[in-house]
Amino acid sequence: MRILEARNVAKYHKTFNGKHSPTLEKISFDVKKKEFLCIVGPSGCGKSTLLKILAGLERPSEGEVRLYGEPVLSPHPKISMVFQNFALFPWRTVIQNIEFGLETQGVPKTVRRKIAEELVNLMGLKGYENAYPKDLSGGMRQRVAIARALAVDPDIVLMDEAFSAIDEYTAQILRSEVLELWEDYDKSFILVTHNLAEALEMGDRIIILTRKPAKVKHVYHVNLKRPRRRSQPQFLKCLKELFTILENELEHTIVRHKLKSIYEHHKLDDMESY
Amino acid sequence: MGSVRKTTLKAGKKALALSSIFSVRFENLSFLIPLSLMLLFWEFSLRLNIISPEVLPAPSQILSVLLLNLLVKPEFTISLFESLLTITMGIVVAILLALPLAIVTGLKTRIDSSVTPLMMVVGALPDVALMPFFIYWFGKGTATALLIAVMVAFFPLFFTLREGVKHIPSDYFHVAFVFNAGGLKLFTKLIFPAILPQFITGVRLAYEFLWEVILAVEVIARIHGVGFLINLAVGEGSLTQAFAGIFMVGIVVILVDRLVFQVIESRVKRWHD
Repeated sequence: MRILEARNVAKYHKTFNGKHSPTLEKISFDVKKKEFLCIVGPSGCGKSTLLKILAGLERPSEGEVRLYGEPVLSPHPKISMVFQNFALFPWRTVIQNIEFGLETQGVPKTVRRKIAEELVNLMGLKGYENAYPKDLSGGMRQRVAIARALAVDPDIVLMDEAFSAIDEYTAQILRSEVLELWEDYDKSFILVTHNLAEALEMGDRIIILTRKPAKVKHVYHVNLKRPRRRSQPQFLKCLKELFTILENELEHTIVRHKLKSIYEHHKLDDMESY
Repeated sequence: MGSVRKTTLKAGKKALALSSIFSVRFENLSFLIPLSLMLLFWEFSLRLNIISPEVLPAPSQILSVLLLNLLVKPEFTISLFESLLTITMGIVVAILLALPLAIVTGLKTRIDSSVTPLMMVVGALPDVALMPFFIYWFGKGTATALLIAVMVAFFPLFFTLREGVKHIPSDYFHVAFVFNAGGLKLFTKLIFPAILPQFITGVRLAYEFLWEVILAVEVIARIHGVGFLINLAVGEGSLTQAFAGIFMVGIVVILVDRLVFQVIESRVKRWHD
């Protein structure tokens, strides 16, 4: 069942001389119920702009986003979001941060406290309820942010580079936890990332965007069984396929360098031996 | 065994709590050491006839007059409240004016670049030098004192609050919008808590500036208040009375600083680094 759809979404930004410079060009895709969709593309291609449009934080210049058939013109209670740099409110404790979305919806204090406490347990934050964000590690902060996003019981969780600001070891643990959450609930996830291996590990489908102005270059269906392991030969084969699709887009971008290191890290050169 | 361990743990925690209270107390009161040393030095230079009491009365004498005044001279206490009222009203009105303007200029770069340079020019004018104009326009009375108080409090408040609003990360606004906190909620749940540290700094600065300026205004414009009383006492040749007024202001400034500002600041420090 299709929940969210983007139809010919385009975004132009006005430059100083009054010309319209395109960031996104006619992007269309849809998101099914309980689907894990990843969006990858070179740095600065407009991935985050696209996500902001899906969240209703920005209006597209052309085209539209529809949720259950209704156009999304402003943030919708059923669409929630996790940010790269956590964006927790430093003046709120862990539990107050988790409660934020419920509080603005006017949920009574006792009810929202109960929901927040359940999420504290779910995200492994027990004992940190009354800590302030400054006293938490990056991984813990992102757990709080995920709990905050889930507290409002969204149908769609948008994640903007949610694992990029955390050390790789913690990120790995958090990824598998998010996958567990996704499996336990009927929620759709949309993860924007520049990390191909991450997209391959998590996504049912991967949308590959071109350089700016971004268009959909390719939609890659991931046919790997879960749980996926990065060391599996099949995984590495898919990763190489993805890399080849994206490669032409990477000239002159920093991502090329980043991906090269992933490539080397997984010894993709030795692929042929598998 | 278990219970023994528990009690020792409890005792240990208690000792830790006590020591931290003491260290906080000590820190809070450490300012008294140089202050009392200065008063002692002052007292002894009078006792040893290095300074004549006609030039400078002894602190012990000033303090006893101050105590006596507080007990039997109501006009003395009233004058303190008159000054405090002017200062408080000035700060409150200045907050009401500065806060919306700071939010608008802090959020909208275009408005900021057109309004703020003007604010900087006006804010840089010396307040005391503007006093004759205010007296000329509004006469020697409470209105003038209040208007000057608002003007003095406005600029430190405006600039610190604007700085605070400018430094709110744009992602915080995205969070607020994603979770449907628009309109008034945007102010109560995001902007105000986010700028609370700068708000306290601004009020504190305004408060300190205001004591100086308001006492001067009371002396120059002969408006009722502590400054007026001090000026009157000096005119009558009673230096002890004048100093009693100054001591009282000093004590009030320290009390408000310790009991109001430092308490709020320590609350903010729990989350702000």
